[in-house]
Amino acid sequence: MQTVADCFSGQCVHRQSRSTWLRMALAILVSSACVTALADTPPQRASDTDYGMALYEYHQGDFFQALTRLNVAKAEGGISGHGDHPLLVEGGLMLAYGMTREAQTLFQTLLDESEVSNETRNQAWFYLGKVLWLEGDASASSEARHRVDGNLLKNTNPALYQEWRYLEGQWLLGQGEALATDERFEEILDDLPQDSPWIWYLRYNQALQLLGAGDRPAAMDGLSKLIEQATPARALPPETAEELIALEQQARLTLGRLYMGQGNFEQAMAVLSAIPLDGMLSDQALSDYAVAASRLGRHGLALQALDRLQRRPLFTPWLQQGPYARAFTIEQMDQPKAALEAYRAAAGHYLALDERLADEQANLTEARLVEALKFIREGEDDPRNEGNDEMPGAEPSLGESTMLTDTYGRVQVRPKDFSLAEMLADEPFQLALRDLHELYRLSDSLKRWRTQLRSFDTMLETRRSRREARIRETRQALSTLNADEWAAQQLEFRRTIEQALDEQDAAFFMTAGQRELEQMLDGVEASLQDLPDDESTRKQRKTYERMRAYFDWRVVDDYGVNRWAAVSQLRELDKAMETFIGQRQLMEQEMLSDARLDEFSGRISRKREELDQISGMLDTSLNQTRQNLINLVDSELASQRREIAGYLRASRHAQARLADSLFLENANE
Amino acid sequence: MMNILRTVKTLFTPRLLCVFCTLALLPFQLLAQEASDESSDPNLEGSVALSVEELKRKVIRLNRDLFILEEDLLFPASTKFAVFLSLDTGQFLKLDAVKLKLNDDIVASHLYTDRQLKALQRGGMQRLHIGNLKTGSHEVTVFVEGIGPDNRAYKQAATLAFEKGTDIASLEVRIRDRSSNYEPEVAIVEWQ
Repeated sequence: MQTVADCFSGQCVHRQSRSTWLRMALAILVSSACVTALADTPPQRASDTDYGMALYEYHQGDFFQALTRLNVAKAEGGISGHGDHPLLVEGGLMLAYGMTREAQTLFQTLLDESEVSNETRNQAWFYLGKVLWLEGDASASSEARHRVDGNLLKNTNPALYQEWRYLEGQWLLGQGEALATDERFEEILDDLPQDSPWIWYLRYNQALQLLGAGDRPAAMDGLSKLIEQATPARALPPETAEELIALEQQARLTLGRLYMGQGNFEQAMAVLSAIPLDGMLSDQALSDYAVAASRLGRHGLALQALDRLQRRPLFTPWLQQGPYARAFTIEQMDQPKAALEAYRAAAGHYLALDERLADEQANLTEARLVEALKFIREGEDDPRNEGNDEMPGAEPSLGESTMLTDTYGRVQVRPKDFSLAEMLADEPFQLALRDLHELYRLSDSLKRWRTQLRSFDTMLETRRSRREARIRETRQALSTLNADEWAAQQLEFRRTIEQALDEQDAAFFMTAGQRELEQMLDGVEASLQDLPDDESTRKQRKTYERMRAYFDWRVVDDYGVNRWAAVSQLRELDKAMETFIGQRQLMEQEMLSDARLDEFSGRISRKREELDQISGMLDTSLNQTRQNLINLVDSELASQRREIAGYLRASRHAQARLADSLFLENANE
Repeated sequence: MMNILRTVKTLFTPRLLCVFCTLALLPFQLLAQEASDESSDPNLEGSVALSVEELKRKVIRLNRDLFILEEDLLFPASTKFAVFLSLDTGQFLKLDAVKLKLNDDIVASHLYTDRQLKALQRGGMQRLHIGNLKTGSHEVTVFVEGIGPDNRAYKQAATLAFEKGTDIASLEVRIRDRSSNYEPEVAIVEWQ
């Protein structure tokens, strides 16, 4: 690994694609150390498919879909087999997705419930403390964190425990109670694993606090110890190596500057020289190294550092001063003619730069801004692809789901226009960019649903027309059944039976056999009337009368049985007709309106209304966020132009001064 | 002339260094505060952040309702059929691709990214297929491809014949490590 010192020992090799964006990402790295420890929870087999799907989205960094999945599960009866853990996951997801207030409400609700397990309650207290800390409510956060059972947290989730200790340490620092002698602070440090980044953050911040309190020697001592204790890069755990290396470099840079502040330029150079040239902070290190060398009168070294800095393609405050500082150093080396040329070149550089920035500022739009950034897509961060910036495929754009984000949803981005490089590390810019990305994602989601709702409409329309066709077929089938006629006949039948019952008309209830007999008897009676009135006929008539009387007696005798048979048949018929009428009514009802389709239609139209409302709000929010982002860039460009104007003025003045003195020298000669 | 010279020297004085120190330390001071206000107009920032959070909440709720509506509409409970995939540790198999065949028709195929694999290894469950299936006997087959033990290409298939009733049918393709022979095991199980 090349270091700042190597550069001056003649061993330096030019790197063609130095990743200064990494340096810019330091601040992001720093804050991402506060990552929700949920990501470190051990794998757990899902006992519920909804929960499994939510975890699948969550571990891919798609918080929006993961939260949706959990909400779907909740609406469909909840997640079984995981106790309260899904709620903790949901709270953690909300935190990561920037929904701190929602997360706070959720954790508070969880704590209000009496049936929550101790483990869950403990973690909920921790998360609540963390949310409140992120919200800036230090005292409420402290109260919540004090409710955490440290031993239980240590046993159930060591990663959360470490973060909890870190927050305790930060709180002590915030209280101004973590100066060098504070035992509680030292206890926290002793409690954390030695290769933990949390220790670095706490120690570094402690040094800053000491510095703020005016105890510069103690701060420097703290930073020196921190650097001395640094583990060699090859021995660092891979998951935190990059972060720890960045932290060591930051400590070196700070210590170097403190030495410079004391006028101890030798020490400053020694500390700064260990910062690798491909490190995140090498620009600052080279710039500071040049300053220290210049102050020691070692202008050759200063010039080498500035030359190296100037060859870099990116644009940062440390590079901005390069052309001017280079000319100044040449002047210090007592080479007025070369210095004059260098000042002239510097003025030309600043002028061209100012024109470019003025143009950028005048034509600043979201599209131009996006063009100036290179977003990283999944797979493009693979070290195997390093140096191959032109990956195949279209450029990813804001809102694309495959775009890489960190655990807080911040977009992974590199500058294409290097005037934005410095600003990429700023928290407000990062947050605005994250919000814009998220809002575009939400907007895309709404657009997809809008299309989907249209297809639902088509689907329902098709279902309706198919249904109508079926209704027509059914009506036709019903009409061939002469259903109405049957119903009328049944009514008439009932009326007649009821009338016969009222009149106790036994003849009405005669069986088929009896009716046949009656017909025969009627026939006999008619025949007898036509016969001559003689003895034989009289005998026959008597026989007939006996038969008729027996028949009538029989009919009357059977009346009860016959009536019961007729009534029970009537009942069966009624029942059958009732079923028939009921089914027919149901069919009619079904044919008149389809509750199921209507319910779907209602749901679709309600959701469409809601979607329209939210789309309107989203557009407003998008405009606000877009404008916010553009304002930030505009301010940054304005500030850069002010700075450049200063250097341009100084370069021109120096140019004039040197030209004057050279002219006078020539004149004197 | 002297003033200009003074300006030049000022660039290399400790005073400027202190300014640089302040600039460089800024992220860390912010870290110490973590929740400090960084924008020039905190009220405006707050309101934008709040509205974004509120919007997220609303869109998540709407997304949920629409998801449910979509499933109700497209996959009625009586015919709904879903196949999930889970990966238990995956030490003996780096999953590359999966194909799912239902009654002789390929209904799903998927190539896995590293991110998706990690999500599966951390307990995530992928819904490989969702559709409608009539009641009766069916057969489902899964073909799994990847890099197996000793870095060799690995292919395995599993089949399950099952009976679809009038309730939702869910199956799980379960890929897990089998320590007895240091090989992965692929199985299809009915989700209870």
